[in-house]
Amino acid sequence: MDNILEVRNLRTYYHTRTRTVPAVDGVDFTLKPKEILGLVGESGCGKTTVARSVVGLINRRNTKIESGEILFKGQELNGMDSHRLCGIRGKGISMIFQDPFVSLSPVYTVFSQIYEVMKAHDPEITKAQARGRIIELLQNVGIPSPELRLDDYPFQLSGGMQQRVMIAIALANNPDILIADEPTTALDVTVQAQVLDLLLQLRDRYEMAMILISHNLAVVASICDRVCVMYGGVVVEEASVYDIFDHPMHPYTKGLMASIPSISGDRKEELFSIKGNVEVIEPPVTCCRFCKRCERATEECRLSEPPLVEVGPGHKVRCFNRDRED
Amino acid sequence: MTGFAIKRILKGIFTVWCIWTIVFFLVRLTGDPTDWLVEDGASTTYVEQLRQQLHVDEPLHIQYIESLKDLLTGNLGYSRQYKKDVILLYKERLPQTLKLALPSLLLGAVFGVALGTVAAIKHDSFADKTVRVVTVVFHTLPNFCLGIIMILFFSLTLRWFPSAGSATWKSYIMPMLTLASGPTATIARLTRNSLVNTMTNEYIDGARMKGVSEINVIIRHGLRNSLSPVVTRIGMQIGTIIGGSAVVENVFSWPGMGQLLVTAAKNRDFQVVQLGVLIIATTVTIAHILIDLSHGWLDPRVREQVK
Ligand SMILES: Nc1ncnc2c1ncn2[C@@H]1O[C@H](COP(=O)(O)OP(=O)(O)OP(=O)(O)O)[C@@H](O)[C@H]1O
Ligand SMILES: [Mg+2]
Repeated sequence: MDNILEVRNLRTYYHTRTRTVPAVDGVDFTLKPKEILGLVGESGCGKTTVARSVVGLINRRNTKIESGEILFKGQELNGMDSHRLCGIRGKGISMIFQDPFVSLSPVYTVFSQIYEVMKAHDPEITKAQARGRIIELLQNVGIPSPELRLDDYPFQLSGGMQQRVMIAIALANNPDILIADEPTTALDVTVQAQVLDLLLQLRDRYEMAMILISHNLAVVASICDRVCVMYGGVVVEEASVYDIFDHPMHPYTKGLMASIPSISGDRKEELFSIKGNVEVIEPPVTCCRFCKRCERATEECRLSEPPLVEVGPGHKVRCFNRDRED
Repeated sequence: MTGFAIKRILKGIFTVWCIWTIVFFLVRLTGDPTDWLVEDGASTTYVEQLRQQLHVDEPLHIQYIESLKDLLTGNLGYSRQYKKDVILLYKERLPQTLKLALPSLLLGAVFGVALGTVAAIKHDSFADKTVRVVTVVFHTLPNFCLGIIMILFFSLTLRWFPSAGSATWKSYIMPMLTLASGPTATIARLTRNSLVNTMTNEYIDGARMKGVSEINVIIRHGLRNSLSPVVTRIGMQIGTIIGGSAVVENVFSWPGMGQLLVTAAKNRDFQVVQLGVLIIATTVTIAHILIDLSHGWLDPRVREQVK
């Protein structure tokens, strides 16, 4: 099947007054129709920057897509004029944000916020026509008695409800791709599971592909088909969700796995954690980005950056000293 | 909301009464009005008669109570200087001031918001820096200075506009621009800062992600969410403009209320000053009440709190 989204060699840098932050420094991935792709990694590894680059939501003043191709259904999004890009945002590609409370305009009702995204892509639609569809949408995202919620303002809804409204906005025009940037991080644990479950159901109902961004491998494991693990602005391992969990090969992925608390495990056992923090290295990069925190690092790792190589069907790793099949 | 409005109106009435009282005593502190009415060497009996006639011979507290009674019964007094009922006097003068003040306020609001928006969209650009410098200049430049500079340049040198009076539409240009300059500058600066701030919110990107065009994102989400402080500032400019009128009307010999008020204060024409202050205080108070009510109207969160 053809890829619905292809990202090749994406580099997005922040230029601050004092330095250049290569938040995304050569990312490749593809997305097939109806696939759920997980983008995981520690805070600061560039996940949000990837998502925002894809839809062109970057602040042109200090952020620049230095290079890269972003092909959505074969159309290049990088450098697309803003008018055409507007036609894709909210219809071809939708996005939901980490914190629903700050992502909804505080002065508009639920109805007008959803109506706005419909109107943006169908100027003819009237409020009366939209009403029925909006009620159905709200039902689909699990809002009880939606008729009563239409005239509510965001601050009158709970966090979980707000995120459901965000999802309804994202789905209003039946998008091909939904990008969810940590959609559950700001929510209660109980609500998190509900929202994830909802996203999974909606993927089937709306037949869309999804990019799920998270720093939590457990979240990714529960709903994704395929996973890209990011570190310091690059993808270090890409594989199906089974391979990632059964045969992780990159030392960083292994570290991430070891730091998931296991339910059966002994309580006294300390959680494993990777020492140190993500370090953003200014280009040109002449070493493995993970080498300072890696137990297996060798001289080679400090002298050149390993390439992302395919080690099995659909399994790619960026490491010189990866686990061989054993 | 109604309860809130009633409370606010009662507070407003109290404020107006306080201001009126303060002014009542202040004008009487400046001295005896008869000083200006009689010529040097007039007989003391004549002066005494006049003082009785004007009720300034009685103790202050009696005068105050009498005046308050008059005020409440709508008997607002008589101007000695103009030999007219003060109500009639203001009926002539107030429209003249409004003709100047209202367009100035409108001009300030429209240009202020427009300039502020442009500066915010292009923030840190050359346009933004220009707006910032120009607004600081106009914000600090006193009205009389600007008025005189304009007269020197546009009336005396270029001979484009008349320097005094209110005869033709040309007479409006300079006083209006002078009066609007301060408010335009303040409103522009506030709009800029508040819009720059609003545009950093995540819901702005949320709106962009809907496929809404940038101009609509700025208007429907950016400006809409910056409106409360901007409307407040516009409302507060009513006071500034009325204050400015007193100066501008004198500089441009505009026959309005501001000019009347300044002359009346100089000549201790108490009744005229008192009614003028009453009109101004009431207008400004009403503006402030409307500002407070507008917050509830503009922001659903405030509406909820007030309930
Ligand atoms: N506006 C900015 N200016 C400068 N640097 C930035 C800016 N935004 C992000 N960065 C830097 O870019 C890097 C990647 O940021 P990004 O937000 O993409 O990470 P993330 O993986 O989404 O992290 P999180 O899990 O915390 O959301 C970080 O090192 C961050 O400090
Ligand atoms: Mg992020």
